[in-house]
Amino acid sequence: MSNGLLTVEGLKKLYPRGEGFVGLDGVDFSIARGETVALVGESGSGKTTCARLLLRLVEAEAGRVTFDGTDWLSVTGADLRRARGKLQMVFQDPLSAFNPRATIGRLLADPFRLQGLGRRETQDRVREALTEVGLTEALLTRLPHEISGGQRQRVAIARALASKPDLLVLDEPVSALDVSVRAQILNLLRRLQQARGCSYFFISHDLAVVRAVADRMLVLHQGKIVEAGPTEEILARPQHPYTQSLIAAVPRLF
Amino acid sequence: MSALVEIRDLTIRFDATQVVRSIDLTLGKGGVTALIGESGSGKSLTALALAGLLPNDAVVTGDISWPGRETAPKPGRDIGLIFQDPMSSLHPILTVGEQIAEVLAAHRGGRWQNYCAEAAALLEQVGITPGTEALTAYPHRFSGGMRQRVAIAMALAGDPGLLIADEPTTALDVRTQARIVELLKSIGQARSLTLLLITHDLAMAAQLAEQVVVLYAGQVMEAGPLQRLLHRPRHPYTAGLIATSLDLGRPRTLTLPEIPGGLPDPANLPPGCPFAPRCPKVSTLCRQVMPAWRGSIGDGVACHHAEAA
Repeated sequence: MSNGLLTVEGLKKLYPRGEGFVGLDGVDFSIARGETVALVGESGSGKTTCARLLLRLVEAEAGRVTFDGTDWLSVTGADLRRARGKLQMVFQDPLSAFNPRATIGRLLADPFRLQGLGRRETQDRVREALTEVGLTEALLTRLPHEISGGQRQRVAIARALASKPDLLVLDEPVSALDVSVRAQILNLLRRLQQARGCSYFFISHDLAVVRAVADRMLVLHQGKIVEAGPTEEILARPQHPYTQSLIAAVPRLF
Repeated sequence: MSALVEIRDLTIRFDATQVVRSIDLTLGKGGVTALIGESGSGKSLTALALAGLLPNDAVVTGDISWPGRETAPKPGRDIGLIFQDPMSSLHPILTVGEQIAEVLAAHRGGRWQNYCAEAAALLEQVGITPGTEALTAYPHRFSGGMRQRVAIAMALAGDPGLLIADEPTTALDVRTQARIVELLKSIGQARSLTLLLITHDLAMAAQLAEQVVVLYAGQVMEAGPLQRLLHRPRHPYTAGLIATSLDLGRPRTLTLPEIPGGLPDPANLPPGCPFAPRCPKVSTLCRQVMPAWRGSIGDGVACHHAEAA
């Protein structure tokens, strides 16, 4: 693919569990620039292992990842530290990802300071970031537990975007949010993607959320991708029995 | 349907903060009622008040009456409770069979060893196939869905008339959720249980509930039969919840409908209607005066600009 950003081939990392194994058992997929690809699966399917492998938090047993033209799994040391800015992460619960004693202002300034920016420039960039994710300066002096879940997730997104990443890995980013706030965050993610052209790898167990955000989806079952394709097509005509059972289980309002 | 319990003007306060404000709620005998609310709505505290399990520092006013009962029902026996995380109800170092048998022994007296057969029968009722393996296993060996089944079996051990299920499927995978919903439905029917379902998830409630009560910031915004509420919501908040629900059955839209703003701080509620700052129909009156309830307890709305009944 000419506009391919990420290509994953035969990626594998298994952990022994009981008499078998869990984790990722050799998967292939790709993500284009500006595209949102969702990874759908239940607990134990290997979703989180996949995220950890892409983020280089664990080492793969086998497989190859090409990210922005580089052999991503062989980048090490200072090169890896520099490159990490291009592949960022947003977690389900930002409260557990933030230093509880750092103000929102400091949390937002950290990534810019890491980039070596001066005090004045950091302040300007923090203000821009706040506006971009729809927060006000009044929040800068607050602590993470003093703001709402939706505001925290906006801060997490602003932090992740600070290094101008090409790919954002979002692991269940709206699962812990109140329903009346969830749509705001999903709309924000869409606007940011349109403005910046970055790609999203969206990990979720919730097919209704996936449908709202993803261009394509991958269905992960016991470490293997059992179905992949355009989101609307899979939801309308699921081919694999596992995908069919997942879709049938989603509660409908009407 | 006769009433199992009637809650009138229930208010719960911690220090200076009112977290539940003048709630009226009637649970019909054998019916399924869903209390819908987001964080801070007071849904769990209302249920705990019903079970008599509020912490000592809660200041409670109002009436909870049980028509046809002389004494208040006992939680654990007359009222069964299940929660989001079944592990919090299960003893980690007792086998599943032992802890269900212990609950039976606690209710009826005698040694737990006398109740093993009955514990096995309860497990079978919640869909855990009979056999010694399930009885002698420890809870950590079970999957989340199996643990929730065990928690349901324990809640049923006292043969309660009322089962309170507080986010019973929220922590489970979607296919397991559907199975637990089915189980609650069939058990409710088989035992003529009154079920109070507490959830943030309107779509999940729609699978089970006959009656829905929508809470926001500690107050009832709207109540009504499920189908009326879904198809003809009268409160803008209910309409907003329905619009923002992501339903696979509806056409996909590029931009999702939003409810602007965030949930209010219970310690710092605005005067008037708590939903006013986020409401598309807000007027000056809304910001000043909390609307009075219009309609009956089971089918009504608290909104100055409510859609007609």
